[in-house]
Amino acid sequence: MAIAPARKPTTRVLFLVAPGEQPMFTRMNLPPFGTGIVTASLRDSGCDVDLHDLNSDLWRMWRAGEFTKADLRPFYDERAVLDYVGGARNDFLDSFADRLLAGKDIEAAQVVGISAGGDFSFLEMQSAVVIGAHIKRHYGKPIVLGGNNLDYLMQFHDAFHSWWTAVITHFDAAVTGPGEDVFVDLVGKLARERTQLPMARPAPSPGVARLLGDTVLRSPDAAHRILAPDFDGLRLDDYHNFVRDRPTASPRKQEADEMWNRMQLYQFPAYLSWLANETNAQQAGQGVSGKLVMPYVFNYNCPYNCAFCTESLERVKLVHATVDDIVEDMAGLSSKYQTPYFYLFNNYFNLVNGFVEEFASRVVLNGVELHWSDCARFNSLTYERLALMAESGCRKLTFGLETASTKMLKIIDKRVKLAEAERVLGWCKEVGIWADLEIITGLPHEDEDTFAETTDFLERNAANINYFNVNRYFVAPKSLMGAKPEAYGMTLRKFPDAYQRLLDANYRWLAEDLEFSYKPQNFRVYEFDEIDGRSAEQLADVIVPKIAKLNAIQSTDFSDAWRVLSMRQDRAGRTPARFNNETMSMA
Amino acid sequence: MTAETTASQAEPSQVKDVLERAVADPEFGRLLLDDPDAALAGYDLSEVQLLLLRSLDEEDLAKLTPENLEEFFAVDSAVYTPEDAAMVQQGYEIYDDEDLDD
Repeated sequence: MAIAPARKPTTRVLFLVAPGEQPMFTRMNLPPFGTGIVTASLRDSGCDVDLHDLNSDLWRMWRAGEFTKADLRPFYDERAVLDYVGGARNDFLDSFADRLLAGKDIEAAQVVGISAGGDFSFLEMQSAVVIGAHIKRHYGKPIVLGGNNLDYLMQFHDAFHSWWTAVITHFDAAVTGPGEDVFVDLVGKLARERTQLPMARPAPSPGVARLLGDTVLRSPDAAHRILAPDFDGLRLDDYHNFVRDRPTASPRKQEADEMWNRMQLYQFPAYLSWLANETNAQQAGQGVSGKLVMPYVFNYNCPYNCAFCTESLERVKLVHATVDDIVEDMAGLSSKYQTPYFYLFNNYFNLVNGFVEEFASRVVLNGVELHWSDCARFNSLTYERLALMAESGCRKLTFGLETASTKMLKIIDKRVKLAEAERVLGWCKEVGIWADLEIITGLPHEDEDTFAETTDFLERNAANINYFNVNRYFVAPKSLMGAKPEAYGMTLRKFPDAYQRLLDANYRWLAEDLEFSYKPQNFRVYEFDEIDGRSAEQLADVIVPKIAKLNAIQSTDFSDAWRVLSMRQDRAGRTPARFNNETMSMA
Repeated sequence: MTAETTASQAEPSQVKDVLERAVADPEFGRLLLDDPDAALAGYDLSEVQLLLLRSLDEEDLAKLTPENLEEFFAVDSAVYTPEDAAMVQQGYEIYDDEDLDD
């Protein structure tokens, strides 16, 4: 009698992405990268992962008219959410979580992982704990929280102390930093033995938050590993970017379609890309089809110490995949998900000497059709390298210039040479790569003269700049400027009720149905006064004309595009603020 | 240019000119749909503007009237205004001195 080989028991993990506000404003256009990475790692380790993005469920509920934006008020109420996590009754939160989880096989899961997202959205952070508490209460499953938003909440842990206390007290683990190995470790331990929860252990587990008395502690981060994301199980149609696709049209029309698609996916700033996607979606099947854009990262940790950046305080070893692995991953993702389109979210593309040449030649030799965008630094880019990048599918590069004041560049230790930046911008134009810039205004002691140096630079190079993101400076605690504010001429102001103030601002934005890009500046948890300079109130007054001045320099192409696309959708209204708030991870 | 003025105030949109002409002159509107390169030959348009205008179809042009064009191309429809900024910031603009933590 044949004996069947013993099967290695697998751990069944239900992995959920908590929903944010985006589905109530615009179509989703990118599958969740961090979740895809952790899923890939869990599946590699033998776990059976049942993956769901609850943004898909929220989107369906929203489109079916099951709730209004204003109905979501309890999610923006600090006490209501944390009391529910602590065991209090709240019928609205409980039933809303139940509706989001409809059809998910919670009973079968041994461990539930919940990503609190990475879009700096308070709905993501609040809904993650509500869903976790609902599952804990009704199914008794161990809960592990993660997601990039936890990193944000941990940086400002004094402001979000109540959130952290509730999470650490009532859930099994909350992961800060890279989760690809930490989740595997936690899932294994939680599935085997639940006698001592990771957060209750005296010795810190890497990447797992804990409480010591009343103090929230961040454990040392685990290391990143480069993996291709695994999105299997998600409803991938929900992330489609609707692009022009007429395979039987004349070559001239197909070429025009491809130009449009590149404009929509790469040249347009995010708010326009979303609008174009919405407009095209209405014509699906009539020369328009849905394509995925793949997010991918092959390097982590920046060797520079730009003083405003969250990576400036601690030097962490560079993690970079080999060219062979990168091209294999990208070709594999392209084939598996049937798309040539990628958004790379590296620290910056040209981080390693010789990489540009090797990558480009490998892509061209392998005959892989790719279109991609990424961040880059000006230094080390030559005309020849840029030409190779264009040949390998590079459509857009985003450079962190931040300011064109030599004095301010020195203060923030940006290590950018303006003459070099101007040369590279010109070369990008010549080889056909769109060049975007990140600009920060509102740095401490930025005066009229230093600001004018930035606007002069932008005006002088307008023909070579595709778009620039306007970021208002905020203090990041995990940056050199946040750790030593006095050294940068600032005195910090902290607000005892910052958590609820931010929730209120976010709820107003949602309930008043403002444009998606008007999302409040959730990073501005602290304000600052300049030492021997202006108060926070005076700085708030001068920032508005500065932003207006910067926006006036922006190419009018994009306001024309907004108007034409709005016209096609029969929706009049203002163009979005063009005011990017997310400076946290800039190169 | 001052902070209060905008690029759209300084340079009237060529796209608007083309669309106004397409509404006022049906023959030009037809040409814009059938042979956009010929219709747009006399205009100095950027690559984005060209792609946008080439992408229009009959249904799009049928929606246009002088009135709704004015609405879509109104100056303040493309301006980031101080009021907008205040709305975005209001979470932090309302506080009392005693709230501040030294």
